[in-house]
Amino acid sequence: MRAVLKEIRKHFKIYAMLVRMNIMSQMEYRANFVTGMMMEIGYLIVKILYVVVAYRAGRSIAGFTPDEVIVFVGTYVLLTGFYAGVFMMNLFQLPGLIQDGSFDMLMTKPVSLQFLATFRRSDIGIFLIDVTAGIILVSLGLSRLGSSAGLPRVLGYAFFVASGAAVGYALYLIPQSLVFRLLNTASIAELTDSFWDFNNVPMIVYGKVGKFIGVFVIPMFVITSFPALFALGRMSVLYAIWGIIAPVLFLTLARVCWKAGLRHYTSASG
Amino acid sequence: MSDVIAKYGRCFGVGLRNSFAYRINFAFSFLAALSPVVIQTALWTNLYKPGSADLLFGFNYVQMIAYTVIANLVSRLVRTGFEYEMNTDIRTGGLDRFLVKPIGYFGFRMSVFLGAKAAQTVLTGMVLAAAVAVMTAFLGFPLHGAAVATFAGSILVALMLNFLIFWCVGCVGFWLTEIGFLFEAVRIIIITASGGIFPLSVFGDLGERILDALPFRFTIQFPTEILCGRIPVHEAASGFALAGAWIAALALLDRFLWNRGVRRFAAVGS
Repeated sequence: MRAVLKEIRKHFKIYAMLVRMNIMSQMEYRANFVTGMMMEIGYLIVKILYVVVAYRAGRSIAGFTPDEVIVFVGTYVLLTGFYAGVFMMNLFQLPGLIQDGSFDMLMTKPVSLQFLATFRRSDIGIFLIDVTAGIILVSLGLSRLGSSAGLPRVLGYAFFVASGAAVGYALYLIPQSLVFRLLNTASIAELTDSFWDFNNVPMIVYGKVGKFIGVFVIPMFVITSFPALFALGRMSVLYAIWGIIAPVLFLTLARVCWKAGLRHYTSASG
Repeated sequence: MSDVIAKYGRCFGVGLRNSFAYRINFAFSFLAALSPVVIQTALWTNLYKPGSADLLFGFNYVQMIAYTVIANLVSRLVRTGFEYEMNTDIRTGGLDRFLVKPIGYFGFRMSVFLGAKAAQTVLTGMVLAAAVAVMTAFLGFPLHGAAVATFAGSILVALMLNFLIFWCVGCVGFWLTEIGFLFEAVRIIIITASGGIFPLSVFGDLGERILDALPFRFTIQFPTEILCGRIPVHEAASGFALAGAWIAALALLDRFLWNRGVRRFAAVGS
């Protein structure tokens, strides 16, 4: 147990160093940093458009009022910070690392290869914009609903956000582990990336079958709808239990897929 | 004259062949386009009252679903990408090859763009025909031959306008050495202002009036509304006239920006 904790601590320290290096490298190319933030603000406007539609239509969506929809969209924006700012770019850059032989270098490092390959890069600008905007939107929605943000609610919400981020990481790593066989997964990346937007509206809109698939088969809705449901006090016991099990289950599955994929790796530089 | 046609005809052929080289990617981009259609269809289905002649943002249910499907396809079709190549040519000095050759860079890029779009238009047309057939069979979507012919004309205008708009955007490369994600940020804003995400009426009366006065709506909303039957064929003429005026104005702006930009261009070491 002590060895595991030591290993986790070591990886956290390394991650902090990687984040610092990424910030330094982003500051070197400031125009890229600024335009990257502009791009994320553009995407943010599109996400907020869904709230605008809900308000201007003046109707509830599948039983959720426009104020409740803000909480869903806010949570989606917040978790997009983790998706776009923390792991997405790493997963989408995997084919490049394999094709140019840089993956060999990562293999020689005395840390977990999966950790290094999938958390190497981060974008603090995108992360901060989305997380800040997400928190503002969720707080706005809850305050308009007259809900008080007590400590248990905040902690529970934070737990389901962490659970959603873990499920999101696992769900996007699983298809990308095909990269060791296919070498080029750009099309898969584009396709799976478009699935992220399914969380832009509450999962209830997709009907019973869509909801079941999105919660239990490909648990996209665990990522952002679960924290929102908890914050709104509308989460069922079944969902709460699944929200605890799903990250463990899918992280394990992602680990298995990664290891299975890695067996097919052949060095491009060898 | 025949030399000019032969010269740019060859460039058109280059674009056509390039689009076949990346046909799998284009096919996948269609699959990726399904996500926003599914998301927005689910949203609108929940917002409209079932079985009523309900109007939201000036659209009935069938018109709104048709708008969602057609606008997403049109948005894929008119999408550019040459601005990145233009920027690379400016940044790396590769543009000097074109300045000394008996070929205009504007004509070259436009011929390649139209060549690539020729093949994509055929594929989009087939997908669109299938989608319209499904909507006609299941939703009672009304389709008229005159609307189809006018829609085809409006797509040509949309391609021309989008090319001119993104040529202006590409010219920014003469002034900024680091473009980063600027093009992507601009693209998102332009798609939103074109009605590519939601109809412009969701922005309210004032927002819609302002966006109506800009050229962007002619790239997505105008063709989509023609095919949806929201702009009657006999009323489309004024829209075409306004779009024609914008094409002339943007062509002048493009020429101005290009002439000013080329004066700043330095192909050091190329």
